[in-house]
Amino acid sequence: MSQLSSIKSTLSQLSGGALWYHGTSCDLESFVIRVIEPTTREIQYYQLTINCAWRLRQHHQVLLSSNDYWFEDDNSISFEPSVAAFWAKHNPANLIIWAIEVQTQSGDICFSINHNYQLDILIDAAAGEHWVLHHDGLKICSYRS
Amino acid sequence: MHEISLIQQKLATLLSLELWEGFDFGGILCLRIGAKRMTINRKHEEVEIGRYSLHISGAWRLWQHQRIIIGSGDWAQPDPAGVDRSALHSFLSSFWPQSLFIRSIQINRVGDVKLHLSKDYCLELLIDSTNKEYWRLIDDDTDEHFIVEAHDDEEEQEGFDRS
Repeated sequence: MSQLSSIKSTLSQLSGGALWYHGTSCDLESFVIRVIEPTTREIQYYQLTINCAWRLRQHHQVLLSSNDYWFEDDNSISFEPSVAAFWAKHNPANLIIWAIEVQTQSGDICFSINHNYQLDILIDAAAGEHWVLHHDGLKICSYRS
Repeated sequence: MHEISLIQQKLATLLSLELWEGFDFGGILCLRIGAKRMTINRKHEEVEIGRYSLHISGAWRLWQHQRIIIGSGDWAQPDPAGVDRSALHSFLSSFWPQSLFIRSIQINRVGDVKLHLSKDYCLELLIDSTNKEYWRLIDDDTDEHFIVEAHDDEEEQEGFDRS
């Protein structure tokens, strides 16, 4: 199975999950996706750590992005006020991922989320590991080129 | 951000022009486009410039034959030959000079731009910020700066241009 086919298959586990949390993990940005397993009702958490460009948009307006943070002198990370404002306004339980599209040429991923939000992961390098998905602390998927 | 139609109109001036140099300046990809002429820079050195400059501060990627061959994120990747500061610097130092012609331009409703170039290259400019400049097109004859950024309040932009 090609890398992108494998990615599509793995990411499909996130469909129906909620975009639960957004913050930093070491010096990278992460989203936590909370998935309720439909039959057992067991709650699973997945961590998507992104090392490339991304943006969360509503229709065509970009609301959050990979450029919304900066490093302070002590190496801590600060976020633009818009980031806190966005998460204060939204109940993460309502940000449900209903479709996941993987672009075969670029490797870009688009998560379609209710309220017309879309999270775009944009591959902006020819080499390296662009993002990693962990589940229960284990790396289950990544995209490398 | 500006209306997409205005961005299209400004970029249309680049159609059929030659893109002949590119370099990194403090994390900004600077491209020289159009008719070449000599000028004196701030250091009183004679340098060759083009009719237009395109300065890209946001994310970008260069494709050839539908494959990404370099991108803004490659500044963080080591030079495969271990000589230059990064894979991006290594690429830029060996890629130019060469002649590429801007064949067509596409822009989507988010504002991402594709410059389709000769030799099956495509330079893609991506909107990846809510508060920063993405790119600017400079007319080096008139010193007009057309700036595409998240919040391009006209007064702010005029003030920025003047400073």
